[in-house]
Amino acid sequence: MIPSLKILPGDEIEIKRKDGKEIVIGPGLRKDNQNSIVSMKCGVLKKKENFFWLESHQKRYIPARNEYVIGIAVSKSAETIKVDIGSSEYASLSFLAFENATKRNKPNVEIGDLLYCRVLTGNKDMEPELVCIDANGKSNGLGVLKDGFMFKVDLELARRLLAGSNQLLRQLSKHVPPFEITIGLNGRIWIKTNSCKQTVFLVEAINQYAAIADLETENFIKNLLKKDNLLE
Amino acid sequence: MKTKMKLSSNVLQMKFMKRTAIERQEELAFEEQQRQIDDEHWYLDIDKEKKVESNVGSVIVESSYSIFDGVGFGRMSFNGFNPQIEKLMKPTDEESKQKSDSDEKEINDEEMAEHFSNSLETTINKKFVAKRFFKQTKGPKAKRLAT
Repeated sequence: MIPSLKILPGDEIEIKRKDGKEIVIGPGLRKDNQNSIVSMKCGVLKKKENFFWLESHQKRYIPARNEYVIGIAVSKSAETIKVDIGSSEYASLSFLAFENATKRNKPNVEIGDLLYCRVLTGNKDMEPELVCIDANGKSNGLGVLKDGFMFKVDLELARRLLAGSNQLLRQLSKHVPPFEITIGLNGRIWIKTNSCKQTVFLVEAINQYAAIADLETENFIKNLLKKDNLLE
Repeated sequence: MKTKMKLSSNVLQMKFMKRTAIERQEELAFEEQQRQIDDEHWYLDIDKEKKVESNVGSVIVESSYSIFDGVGFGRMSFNGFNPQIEKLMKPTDEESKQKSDSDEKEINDEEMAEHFSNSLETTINKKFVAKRFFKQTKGPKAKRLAT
């Protein structure tokens, strides 16, 4: 298969299956009634083992189970919070889905707060549901993000930054003062640093990185540091 | 005998059989109701052809991008900005390390063989070694095992 196959919506995609391995189709692909696989948007066909998907510059987030996202609390009711996670519909987050929360002891979440949470149900027919705890009832970093600065990128960039193989943040952190970053798979990135200057620097760096290939990361960082010296 | 003995309608009409008659009527009514419910219950009429088709081209549909390449938890802290988060980050770093290390054995085959071949000999030896020498013979061995 050609490594970067450009696909338009409606294109039929022929996938030769190897024996014994079932094909897994990811976002952007769909199986139609004639037993063929059809694309739903334009992008580049990607493949990893038996997993096929379309990579595109999409900005609209489609909730899927077990993805970590950054949401904004929009409204509160007795038992749930409505959270804007960038999907077509607001997601609901139960007050009980926080660490140490009970009916009496509700977590302190205000409207407008940023929440880092996990998608519990992401179904195309139902309202997405979020939680801020893991299976053991521990928050493990999930919950309200205090202070900091949030900005949006396209979904592809968020995934790239999160991939285990990506070196941008790890390399960059060697040259800059301490900072904290949270990347949601819904294309929202939250940064917290000790100075405005550094925040601006990191936001710019990440935005520019969208146009840089993974292999060029090291050169990119070198150029960045030449232009903008944070260590002064 | 499988079929239930039935009383004739004439007997049931008698005054002292009234209770039994009412019971039987209720039973009949219940059965009738049950049958109606069964008839009313709708069921899916799946085309057999469709079923076969989907079996032929069985494809798993996954709605998330993140099933590969460790795309997942996205909170990161660098250079000690938030120690709590850095603690959380460690396990994911170590997981990848452990994967590469798991091929290497903790104890060599040779070490293992040496340890087991000596063991009987040394345990019996211990009995004849004077107490002040005992610690010396034991010392290096314990160290080697710990490493």
